[in-house]
Amino acid sequence: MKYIVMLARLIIGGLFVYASWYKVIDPAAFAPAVRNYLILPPAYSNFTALTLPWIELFAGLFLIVGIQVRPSAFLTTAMLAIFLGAISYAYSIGLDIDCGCFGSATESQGKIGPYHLLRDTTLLLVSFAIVAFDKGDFGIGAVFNKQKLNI
Amino acid sequence: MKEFFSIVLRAVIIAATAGGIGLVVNYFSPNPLALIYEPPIEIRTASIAIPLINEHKAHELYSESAVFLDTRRSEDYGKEHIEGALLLNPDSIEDEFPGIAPLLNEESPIVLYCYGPECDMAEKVADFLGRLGYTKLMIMNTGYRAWEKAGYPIAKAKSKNRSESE
Repeated sequence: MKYIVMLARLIIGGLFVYASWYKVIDPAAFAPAVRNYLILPPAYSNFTALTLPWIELFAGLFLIVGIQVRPSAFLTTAMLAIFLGAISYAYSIGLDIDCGCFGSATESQGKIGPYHLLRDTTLLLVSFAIVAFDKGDFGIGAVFNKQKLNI
Repeated sequence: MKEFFSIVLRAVIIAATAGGIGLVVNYFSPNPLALIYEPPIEIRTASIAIPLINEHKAHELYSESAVFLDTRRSEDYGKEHIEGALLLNPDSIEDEFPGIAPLLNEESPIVLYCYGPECDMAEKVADFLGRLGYTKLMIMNTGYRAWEKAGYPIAKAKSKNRSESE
């Protein structure tokens, strides 16, 4: 089981780091994607575009290196749940927009559709599995714990 | 349960720290983004400055019988559009404009709309009309979906045949 959890950590962590990178570099291009969903009041779109990608980046990095794994997986699970809710809402009202998942709204990655819903649901389950089953194996945290035991 | 709260608490601390770093990085960025987004009040095309309005202001003008121009793709217009709106898409503007020109008045308000805030099709049509001398142009830059979400009047195609005929 611990190998499966490690693999899940690398997949979710890697995806979040990858997804966050372009948004961290260019939040001004990501902000329109936030506005396009018509969920948040437009006034808060910049604040969201400035903070959310960094949370994605840190949660992803922590999952990869094994720091605060379960809290980080809790964050990725919560974010995936929010993204899934946003995409479901946008899809249900027929919004013809790019999902803004892995970049800005100006880079076309295909309109939102069932594929995005299925993908986010799968990732949500994988991320939740980390919260449920991680025992602190294979990570910086595990190394520190071993050193403490040796002392 | 105690363990769960510990996980949530640590997650909140990580999120707050990461978000805070994002704000600090933005503060020291050469081109910082304003924390609160303020929509532009007008856009300037090559021919004219055009006020940008939201769906509520547009609805006030709708009640005052302003002409509404839908600049989206014709198939989307065929499915649904603001009730009474005319189709004028930038890709087929040369063909469509002669048909609707008699319905437009250079001195009367004309509200253009597209899909949403980032769509520039209304801007292109407004530039075209501005060059022809239309002066009371406005763009509802929140887009068609914001109008629909607000519950304002729309016309929907009842069947495929009807949408084709529209």
